[in-house]
Amino acid sequence: MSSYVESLNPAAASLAGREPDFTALLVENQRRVFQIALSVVGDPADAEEIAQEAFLRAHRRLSSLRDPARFRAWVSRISFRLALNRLRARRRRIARESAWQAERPSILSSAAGDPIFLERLRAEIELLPEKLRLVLLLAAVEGMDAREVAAVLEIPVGTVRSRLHAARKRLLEVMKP
Amino acid sequence: MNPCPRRRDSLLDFALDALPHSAAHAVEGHLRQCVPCAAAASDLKLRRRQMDSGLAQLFAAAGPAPGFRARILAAAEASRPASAWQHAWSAALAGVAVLIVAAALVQLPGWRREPAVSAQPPAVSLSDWRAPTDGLLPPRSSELLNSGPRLGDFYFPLDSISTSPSQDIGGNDDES
Repeated sequence: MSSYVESLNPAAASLAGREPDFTALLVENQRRVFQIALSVVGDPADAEEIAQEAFLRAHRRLSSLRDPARFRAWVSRISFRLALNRLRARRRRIARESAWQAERPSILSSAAGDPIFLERLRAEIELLPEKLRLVLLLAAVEGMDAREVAAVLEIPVGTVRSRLHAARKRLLEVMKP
Repeated sequence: MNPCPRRRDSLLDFALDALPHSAAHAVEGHLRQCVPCAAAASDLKLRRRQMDSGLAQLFAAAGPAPGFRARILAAAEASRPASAWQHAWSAALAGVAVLIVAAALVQLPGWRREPAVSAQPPAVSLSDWRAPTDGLLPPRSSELLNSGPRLGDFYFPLDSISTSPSQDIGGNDDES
């Protein structure tokens, strides 16, 4: 009974003084961790590699995590950092090769809705400054609120809100019919 | 028709519901009187709904591939660190091995240290020292060395030489 409760709520494992169930944490967070990586790198294959690496790093240090309730924020931050590193490495490589035509893979390939509108939206998001773009994309990840975005980016919640507003305002201005 | 230029920024904020209550009320008052601004605000509201819908769809269908979880669990299992019990057993086995090696080394003859007790001065002790095998294997040359001539001695006895006249080296000139 207790193991079932802990599998539903990993924080219960800490109350029981045991290491949290990694499988339960993985099931609970895999989609979000993947989407965070995808929001930064834009390529599903890269995002999957990054998410896998983030979970393995978290697994290696799972015993040092005192509060399993923080696992979500922790693994989200790892995923974001890994994705940002990969994005910057890719940009450096592209800059070296002087191949600006090597554009970022579409993150909307599997999205539903008006494909033309979404493609245009993606193009406009790409033109946003990095600070605004990252906040906007992380906020678009399923279930991420401003506080969680702030935790991932390690910036104040107020900064997240102001950047999010600035990004949406700029998008609204340029997305003319 | 274009909206009022000085209202452009506030119309964007109005469409995003980002204006404080009093400012939003003032914009609504203006929209009731200004047709171009009202049309622009209506258009912005529509675009904002499309944009929010599009942003929500960005990652709506995005998820890892089906085998993602199994791959991570397999990799995690492969890199699982040894448990505390395994660490304890390893440490205990290593300790026992060290003790066995130490005991074996102490039992070796060379590792036994006999106390060197000697009342004599070191030089005397050294001159008296004999190898343990000296008594068992006396050298063949020891008799010859012990009976050999010392410095200043002649090897053959001189009296036996002087008895032969032909070999008188000193000569007998005085006698002849």
